[in-house]
Amino acid sequence: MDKSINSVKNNLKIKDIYIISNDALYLKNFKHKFNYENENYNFIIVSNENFKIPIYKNFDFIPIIILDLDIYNNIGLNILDNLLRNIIWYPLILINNNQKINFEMLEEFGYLFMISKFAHRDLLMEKIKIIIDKFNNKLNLFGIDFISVIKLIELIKKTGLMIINNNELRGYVFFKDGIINNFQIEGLNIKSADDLKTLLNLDIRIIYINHFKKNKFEKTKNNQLEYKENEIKINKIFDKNFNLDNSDFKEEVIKFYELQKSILKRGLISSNLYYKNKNLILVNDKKNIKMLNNFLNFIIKVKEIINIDSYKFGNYCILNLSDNKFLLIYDLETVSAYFLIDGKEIKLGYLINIFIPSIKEFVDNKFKILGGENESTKIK
Amino acid sequence: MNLQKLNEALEFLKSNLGNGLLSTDIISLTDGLSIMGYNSNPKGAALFTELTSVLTKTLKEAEAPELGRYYIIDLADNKMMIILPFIEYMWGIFIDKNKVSLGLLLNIVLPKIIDNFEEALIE
Repeated sequence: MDKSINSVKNNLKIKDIYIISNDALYLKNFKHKFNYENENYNFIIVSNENFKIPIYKNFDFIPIIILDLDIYNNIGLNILDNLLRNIIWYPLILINNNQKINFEMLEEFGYLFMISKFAHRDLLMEKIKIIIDKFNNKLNLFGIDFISVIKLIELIKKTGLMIINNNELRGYVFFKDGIINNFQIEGLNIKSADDLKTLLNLDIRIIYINHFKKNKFEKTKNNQLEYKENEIKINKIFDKNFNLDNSDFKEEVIKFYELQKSILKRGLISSNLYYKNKNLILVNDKKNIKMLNNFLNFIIKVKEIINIDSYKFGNYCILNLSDNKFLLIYDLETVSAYFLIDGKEIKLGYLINIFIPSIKEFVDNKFKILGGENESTKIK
Repeated sequence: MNLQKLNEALEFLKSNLGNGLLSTDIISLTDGLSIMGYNSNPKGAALFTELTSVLTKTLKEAEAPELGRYYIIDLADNKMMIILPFIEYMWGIFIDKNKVSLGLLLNIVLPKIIDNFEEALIE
């Protein structure tokens, strides 16, 4: 096990608690409550603009950071971004005023500790229930009232619980008896502290936050297109809202897109997918449909050429492009896809060792079952 | 062209990939013939040339950015082709992934030989 994790587990000492918010009333109440109820902590209360990430030289002593995350406030998001860039092991509690619940945000954050600033607990729980119903229990929400923050801090101190409010890093890290439990990333199982360390070194969380910021301003579209192309016969094209009749298939397609997004984050520039068994294209990027078409035919030619020398094409081709992008062309039994990837964000090794096996596993397990026989595929 | 430098790059590749390197050829794109190699494969050289030609055409038709410094083709049986096109030449590398550390190849060997290859060709 990683030495630093053991260190946290065995010697967890929390004294500094940073509370970052621009809400004057909230800060005032917070300070009052905590000072009154607990003298063991050193509360450092700062506004968003004045917050500087605290640096601690080792893991014997760590702060808890409570960030008042107002999604309408870019400074709050920038702080969060910086925290996740620079601090891996500091417990982080994100709070959001329940009066400003934003569903888009909740969808992005799989886990959210909601702390009511002004409302009573009953009102908070009522709102949370509405959200849980809306998302069919897909979210893991914890309603925490104002006073209970201190209990949460005690919990962190006692268990070494790290709260990760991140849809991709879905779950908790417990350092219970030196074992990491219940930590799973979509498509990736973390079985050991070393696995986790390796993963964190890949800057997954850094990418995620920026992705979140970007998506906040995007409107979802619901256009269904008809598309005909000379070289590949395509029945239909669907955008990413997937107006598909088969609900099982639709669910899997959405999961597939979520998987791509969760692994590549802002490194994913565009992707389109040709689902052979259904003879349709699922479009994530309408502008580049032509690109998909060209590369599907390229793969066909590659297969022909390679066969001349009695080799057999595997599953993918990666092109390093002149503007520091990668183009991954992926071809499996049921699915062909291309992914245009930002080379500044995603390393080649990550692409080959993490992303490609993850999507292969997903496609092999899901689309194969749902797709049935491949009789309708016609590629001229 | 600096043949000495090219040869050193080839030796660097061989020494780092060991028996994971199945074959490699530095090929002239004008005639598809190998000018230097290891376990040289004339058929493979023609194949690399044809692939690169098709790829360049595809990228143009797709209105995608131009090809950069390399492309990789995954092959069955855990094998892989890496192709480095540069000006009128191309370096094709055929490896066995079972016997090569991809981390070593992608992070250390590949960047170095790309630099050496390009330097050798413009000198």
